[in-house]
Amino acid sequence: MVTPAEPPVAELVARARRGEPSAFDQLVRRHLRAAYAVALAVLGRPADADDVAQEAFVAALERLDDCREPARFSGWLIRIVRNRALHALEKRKLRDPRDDAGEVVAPGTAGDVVLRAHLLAALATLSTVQREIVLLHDLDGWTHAEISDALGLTENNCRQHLFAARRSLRAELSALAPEEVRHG
Amino acid sequence: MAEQPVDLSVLDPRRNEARFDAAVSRIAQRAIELRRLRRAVVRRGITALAIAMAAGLVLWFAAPKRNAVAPRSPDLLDWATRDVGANDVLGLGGSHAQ
Repeated sequence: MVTPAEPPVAELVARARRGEPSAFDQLVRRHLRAAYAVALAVLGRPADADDVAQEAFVAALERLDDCREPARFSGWLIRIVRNRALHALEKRKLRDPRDDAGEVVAPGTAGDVVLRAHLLAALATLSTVQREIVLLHDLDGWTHAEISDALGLTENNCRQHLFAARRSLRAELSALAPEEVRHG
Repeated sequence: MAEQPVDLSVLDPRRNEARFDAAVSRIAQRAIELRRLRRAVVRRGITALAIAMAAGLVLWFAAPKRNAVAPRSPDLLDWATRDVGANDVLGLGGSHAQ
């Protein structure tokens, strides 16, 4: 998640608290995909996940002084995103009780759109925690230690969830589009 | 097979680099503005509180001093229970303890 050239997250948090604009930029650049992954895991729709991830990020940075352990900024942010996403999900269900988290098709090549729709459908068969883990690990490259710390799980539990999630995803994808199953 | 990562790159928000960069700038900018606003509100709140406290202290010290217990004229209860003359109670003046 962090390359050797990048400053540690605690340092970025300290600089952002002092009001350095570049620190804000780096914090967002480094964590936006993870925020999106968690929002997508809860909401199931990329467009909604995009909105919630951005709103939650702004809210988190606005009250950055409340982050008591700057070295664990990622976990703190993820909890804020998750809470906001759950709140948005409740509101969405109230608006439309038959809500099925159907994807609003985003622009892209035809193959991408189909694969994206299949992936979202396959992800929808997993539990929320499995989606969070597989998206954080396989989309944003988080380690088991980072995920377990952020989500409050043991590393072993995290590995089991990831194993089960990948197996289910591959099974679903092969059922939906046998020729498009990818192995990374 | 489940040990290998699933390719989720079609869901990656960084696939559209320009859009991702725009989102990063937008979030950082809004967060900076909101933090500035919040700090300005807090600073002004503290200033207003300090001014209100100073004004309160000035009024407190400028106010005329009052005795802790105002002297009162004797009444019937004093006449009945204590050594107070009837004239004092009726406000006629005269001697004490007749």
